Amino acid sequence: MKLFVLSLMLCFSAVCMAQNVTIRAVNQPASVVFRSIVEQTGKNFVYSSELLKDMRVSINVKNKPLKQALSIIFKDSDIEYEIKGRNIILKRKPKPEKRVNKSVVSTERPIIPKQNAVVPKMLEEVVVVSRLEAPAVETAEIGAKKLTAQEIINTPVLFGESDVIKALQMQPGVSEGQEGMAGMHVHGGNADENLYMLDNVPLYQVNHFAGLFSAFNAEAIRYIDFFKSSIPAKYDGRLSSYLDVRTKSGSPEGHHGSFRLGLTSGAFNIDGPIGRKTTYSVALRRSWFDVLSIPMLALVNSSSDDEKIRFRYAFMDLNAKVTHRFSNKATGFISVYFGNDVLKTGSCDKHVPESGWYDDDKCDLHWGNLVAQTGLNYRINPLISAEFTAAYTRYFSGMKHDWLSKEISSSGTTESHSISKTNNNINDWIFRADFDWRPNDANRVRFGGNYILHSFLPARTDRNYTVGTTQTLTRDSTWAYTANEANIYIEDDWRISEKFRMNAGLHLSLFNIDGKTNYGVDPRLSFSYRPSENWAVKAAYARTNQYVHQLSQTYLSLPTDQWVPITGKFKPQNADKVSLGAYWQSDNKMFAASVEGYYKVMRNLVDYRDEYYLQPPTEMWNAQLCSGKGTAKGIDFKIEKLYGKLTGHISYSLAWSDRTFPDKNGGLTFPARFDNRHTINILLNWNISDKVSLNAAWTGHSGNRFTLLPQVWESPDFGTIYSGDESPLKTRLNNYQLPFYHRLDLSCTVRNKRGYWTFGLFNAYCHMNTVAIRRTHNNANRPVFQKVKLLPIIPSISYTWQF
Amino acid sequence: MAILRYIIPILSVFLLTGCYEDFNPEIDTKPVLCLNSLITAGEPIEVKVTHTWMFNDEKSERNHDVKDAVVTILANERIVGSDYLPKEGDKIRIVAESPTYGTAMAEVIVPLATPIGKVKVTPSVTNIWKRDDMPNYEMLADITFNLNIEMDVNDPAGTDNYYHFGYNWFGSDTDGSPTLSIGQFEYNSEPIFKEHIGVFETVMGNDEDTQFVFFSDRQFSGKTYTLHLNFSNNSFHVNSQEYDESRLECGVNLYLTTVSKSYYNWAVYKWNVDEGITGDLSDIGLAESKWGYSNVSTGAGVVAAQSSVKYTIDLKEFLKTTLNNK
Repeated sequence: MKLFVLSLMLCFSAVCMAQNVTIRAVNQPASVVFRSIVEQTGKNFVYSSELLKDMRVSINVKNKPLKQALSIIFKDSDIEYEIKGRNIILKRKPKPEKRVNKSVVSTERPIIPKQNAVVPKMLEEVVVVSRLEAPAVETAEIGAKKLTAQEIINTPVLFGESDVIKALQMQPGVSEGQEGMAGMHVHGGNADENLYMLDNVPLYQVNHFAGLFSAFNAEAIRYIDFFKSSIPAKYDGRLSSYLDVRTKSGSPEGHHGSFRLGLTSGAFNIDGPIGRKTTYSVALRRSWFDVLSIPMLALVNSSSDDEKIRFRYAFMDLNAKVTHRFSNKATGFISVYFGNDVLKTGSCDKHVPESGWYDDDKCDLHWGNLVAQTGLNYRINPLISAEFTAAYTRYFSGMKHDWLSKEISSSGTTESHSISKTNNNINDWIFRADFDWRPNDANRVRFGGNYILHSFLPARTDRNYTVGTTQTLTRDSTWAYTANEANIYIEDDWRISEKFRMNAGLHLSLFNIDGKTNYGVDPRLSFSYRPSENWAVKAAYARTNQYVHQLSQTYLSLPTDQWVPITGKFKPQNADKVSLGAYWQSDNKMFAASVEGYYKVMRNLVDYRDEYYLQPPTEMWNAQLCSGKGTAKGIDFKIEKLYGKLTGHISYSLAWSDRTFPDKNGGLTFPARFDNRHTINILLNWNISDKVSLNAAWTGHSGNRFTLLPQVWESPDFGTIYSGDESPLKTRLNNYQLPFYHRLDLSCTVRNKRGYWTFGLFNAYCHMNTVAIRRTHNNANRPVFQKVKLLPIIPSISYTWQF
Repeated sequence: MAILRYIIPILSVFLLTGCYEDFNPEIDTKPVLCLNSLITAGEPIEVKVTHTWMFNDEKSERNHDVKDAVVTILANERIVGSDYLPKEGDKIRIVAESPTYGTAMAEVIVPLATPIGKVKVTPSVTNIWKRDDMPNYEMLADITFNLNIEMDVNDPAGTDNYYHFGYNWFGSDTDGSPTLSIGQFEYNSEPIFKEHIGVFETVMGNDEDTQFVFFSDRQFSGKTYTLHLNFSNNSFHVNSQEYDESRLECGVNLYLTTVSKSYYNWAVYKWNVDEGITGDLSDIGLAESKWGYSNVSTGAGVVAAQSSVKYTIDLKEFLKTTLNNK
């Protein structure tokens, strides 16, 4: 059998070695054309990234030899090529004098004469590249998307803060969740079912400010690979989607940077070389709400004789990376990411009275992520490259509440002092190795493994009450866990023939916690059939596993949300997903369209049970939880214009998502909160000129589901303070659908010599969407239902200075 | 003092620009029967039968009593009359039938009273004025004191028990004016009164200023638990200079009430919606809606039961000693 498979592979390899290519492209970026050649020949292009800057290609060849196609591509350029084994090496033609002169008068970045000497040495530099460079018709993946930093910046968002997650919310099959928040619900999944990886290392806290901003600074991002349907075997640990964020390395060409000042934050980034082989990159972003709040608070406090209010909120994130090229085969890096939110609130009486009460109330919260890592990209031989990563990641969330109260009388002072502190931490030590092997032109095998030592402290609350001389100390929720996680995977991206392509993989995982070992066997398979150059149909199956989940009692992203591991009676969550897709691209690759369908079954989902709050938290947190299942199905349509002055996409999603929990809704199936039946997204980027561009994003979707409690009953009067009024009558969960949601966001970028202005309008036509229904009494004291509408039109402005 | 007070203004940067719009949701509802009753061992059973109504019903302030309901009470599966006095351990079932609103049923077991175990009382005087100090005032004494009490709860094994702590005080002068006044009960002194408060609420400061005195035996099932009960700034005052030992007769009654699970759950629910932060957040759609806890088949109403024991702390000797020692 092995012999047969080997023979088959060799046969297909021989077919693929024919080296004839078919390419049709009009004014396409060179990288797109190269990718097509790579797909057809299995050869790699090796070149300096600066070499092809802004190069565009027009070519129309059908079944011509590779050399002939390459000659046409580079005919009028100053680039020459050399086919060396499986690599096509590009470099500048040796005409240094002419380029030096040109560089003197050019306003573009000057080309340094020495570059010709440098370029050949850099040709075999090991650089991690996105696996989604090729158009969708050429790959086997379904539901995958590569986003560049520019695409993220081009997506208009609230306050003009470029946001990775909000950019992804414009993709079909991705729901935004709560309005304005950086939540993500992919194909009917929950918000904690998305894995966010920063240079191969998972992040737990991906939001700032209750979810209004994501923790990823767009200035530091090189590209993002996003997978939501067919999941490559490398990824596991979440049910719904995988976001592989890669940060920028510094430029070897010189020092560059930018400084941005917006309404809510400022950002500074700089990168450049340190010597000949080392580069650095630093990106820092910090909010300045606290700077705004200082004078406002001073005004408020000066107008009050009695009370002084404390308030300070700030978030920051720092990305720093140093990359060193040890040799043509080895590149290493050290990087640090630190994201942190700080919130300090409270109040105190300004004066201690001679008699009466005195209060001093302080609350400090801080939460965030720290990632420190080192990595080595190493080309073992021309066929195998490897990426080794060692990392430490820490998720932290700490809260402290300090309340001092004094009752002062002629007979003395009675003092009450209470301090409560809560900590929720996860510490992970991560060691991983990923290999990329190209045994022949038709196969690309990726394999690797990792080991993670987790240390979970889900929640630890210390309370200290002092009344007079009596002190009471308590500590709740003292559970702490150490867990060992190991993963191995292998996948083969196999170009069976010109028309057939398959990506088959297997991910095996092991999660040991609390004396119990859980296993995951996750097969992955995707298959592509390309009847013509412009068409492809695909099918995929993926199983995913999840060992940690996030508990949240609200729809906000708060520091009180706890990441907890699967323990006790709960089993690892898993999902099976099948997808089908059809893809089309125009002859000149300017337009693309796709339709993707999926059906997903999720098992062992964890959620708060009905009336969970009746279980006291002194029991295991598991007592408040229950386990169930969910299904999601739908179809995503998308039409894209990829190149030209006007680019963008229109997408439509038809989706269903439901949940069934024995301990929720009486065991009956109910719709998921973000069961948005119809979703339409339109994203347009119009480069009016070299100086001005307009971006527009319109989203419209069926309203979120909401548990509306229409009836009430008379509450019992048992003679305690917990009596009286009326209580709402229980109904089916998510029984009400909020009105259709729609919103238009606009932004305009105006460039000048030094940088660019960005003007934004969130909710441009000020359609205030309903986010909830509440029961209340109106001005006439009549009981009424009211639609709660939050965000109106919100303008923003920022300036980015580039140097 | 909940920090929500401070966080809400931050969110209000956005929320203030938001708005509310009255509307009438088109949702099909049907009123059902609601039963409310607190059954106390040794006392006749009273049941209040009402019906549910649409919250925005224009006539919602009317009386919701159901006149045509027939109520049947069963004690240990036997129909009993309205003069029946329930006993501890009785299984009481209440069934109400109405031609208009249908049927509702609820069942509860009258819990066994849990005897109060050892009680240790430590009074401490913080301030004292006597007639000798102030001869011009018509006053025998004015004593301010604290009471630290350790009260053992001997939880019976084999059942889940839920408790409510209560107290009152007594003591009056010959003219009927009160002599004893209990100042402040320090809820913070006993952590078990906060066992229902989770991390989220603690961080938001909602564990302070609460007067919640229900607790369960989850942490000491079948064992003895000592409640730490601190009363501060208590005062004893007699408006007469005439010393008479009968004037010193005063004390504090401590009540340990064993309540049904339905009563405990109702109290926890009310705490969550009235004092917890998730109740506030669900009002503006940022947390899951909370419906009223009910153990009635229709989902409306609470049928609860309780049995109580009392322990009296006599302060006469303490006051006598205090007056004689100074």
